[in-house]
Amino acid sequence: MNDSPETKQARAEQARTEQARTEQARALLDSLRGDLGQELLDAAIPEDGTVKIRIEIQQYRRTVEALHAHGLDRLEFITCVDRRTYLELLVQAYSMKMRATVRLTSRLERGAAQAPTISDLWPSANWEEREVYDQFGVHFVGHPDLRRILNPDRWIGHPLLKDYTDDAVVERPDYF
Amino acid sequence: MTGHKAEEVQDFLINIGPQHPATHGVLRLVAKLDGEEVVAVDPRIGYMHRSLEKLAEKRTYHQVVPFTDRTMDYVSSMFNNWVYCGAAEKLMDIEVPERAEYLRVIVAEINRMASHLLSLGSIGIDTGATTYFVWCFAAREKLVKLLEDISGARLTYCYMRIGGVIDDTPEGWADKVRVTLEEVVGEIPRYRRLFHDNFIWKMRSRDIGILTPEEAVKLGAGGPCLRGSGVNWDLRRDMPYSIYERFDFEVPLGSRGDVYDRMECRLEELRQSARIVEQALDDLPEGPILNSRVPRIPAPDAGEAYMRIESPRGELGCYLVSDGSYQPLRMKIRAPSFVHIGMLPHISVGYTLSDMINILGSLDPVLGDSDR
Repeated sequence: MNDSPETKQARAEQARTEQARTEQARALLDSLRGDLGQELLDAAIPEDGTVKIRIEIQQYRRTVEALHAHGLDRLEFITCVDRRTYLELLVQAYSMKMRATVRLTSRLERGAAQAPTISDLWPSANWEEREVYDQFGVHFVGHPDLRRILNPDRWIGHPLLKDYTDDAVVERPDYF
Repeated sequence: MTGHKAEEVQDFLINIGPQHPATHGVLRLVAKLDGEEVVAVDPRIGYMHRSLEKLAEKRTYHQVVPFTDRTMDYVSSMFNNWVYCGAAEKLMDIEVPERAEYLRVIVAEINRMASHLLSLGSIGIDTGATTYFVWCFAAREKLVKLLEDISGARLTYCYMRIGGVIDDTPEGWADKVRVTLEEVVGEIPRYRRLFHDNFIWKMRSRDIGILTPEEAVKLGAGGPCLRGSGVNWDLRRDMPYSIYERFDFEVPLGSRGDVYDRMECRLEELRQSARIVEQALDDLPEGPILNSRVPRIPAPDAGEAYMRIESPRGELGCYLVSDGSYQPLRMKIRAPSFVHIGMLPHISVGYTLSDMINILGSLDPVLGDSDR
């Protein structure tokens, strides 16, 4: 496919804005490093420009407070990933001014997963945390109203865990 | 009245739903009232929970695409297709052909108009303006017909695939789109005369359900709910994805953040979407519509990808995690309706019960989206 001059120009423009965004992300990460120092176990900016940081769960609340203070005004979602041996708590937020996104991950123990609430920082975290509690059984300490949200109140178990099972779960044959 | 003492009057609970008389879906609201005034409200969602995220973990990447139509926001399925396919393309590092990107923008913007018309019409029902509902549906029907012509389905399109789109435009479709969009945009002055400039509607919507800009940002509002409060933010322009930076369009803003402003933004966005479609049709390049190098059963390397797009309801996101197998390890949908229904307790307190129904309508929730 031959690119027209306009297309080439548009692509160059896109590359420039992407570069600017990566620079923003780098500046944000540097200032976060200054604030949190040793507590960042792992920090990287992959190609898509998202700042990815990993921390111990003990530092979770402090790190989120620092993110909030750094102007990440929009909480996108809180969720969990069941990595089979452990749970990964994941918070993603972005800043409208800097146009930079931060994805924070933290390792939780299976079985007795617990994390402090952040619903006082971002009010929208209230429902997000309820969903994580409902689907993964993570207990958010200090949450004002930790109830199930998508599943019925009397539901047993936490459906999105990999080892969840009930009468309705049908094992699909392995086609491949 | 005899025997009535003011201090004996207590708050009482009223249950609404789980059905909604208009088209918003199965939502239950437990409202605490003081006379006519709402003191607190607890929305109960989950009546349509089908656990899309769990289902996706047991399917191959291609098999998830039709689920996104049905189990997410069924009023704007094109966006669901797009957000999932976009995330999968990022995860697998797949390029989308130029023509497919244009076709995606065209069908998505037509779908946005259809979705906004449904929202405008159903707020008519919420406030007792049934004629307006019928007018909006008549216009929406024309747009749905266009999407049916290109994808074969009225609502659950399943038009996009990982790496492009599945069908090219039928004969004469582009001209039909231009004519239809002109007709629909030409209706807007009529809508204004019937409904938006009507003083009864203004009485029902002005200064009702006020959402300040600071609150809107903090509560995670998106789309017309955010812009109705005057926050100048549109992902299509401010965090451009696909090819949106090539189009010229305006972002309509409200000033007071009330029900009226939110609906006004939607009405104006009809015009802007039509503008984008016009430009995309003008520039539509020739070429392939589907990347032919996408494996039939993809097994991307372990990794993660996130795609966010501006859906008619707000910011729709899809987070995909792969562990190297042919099934996603985790798929998370960031649903705008989920966030917006969560806002209801914050913005409906202090208004009357009938206003609360109006506020709910102005947030334009789709329960398929929030419950997934």
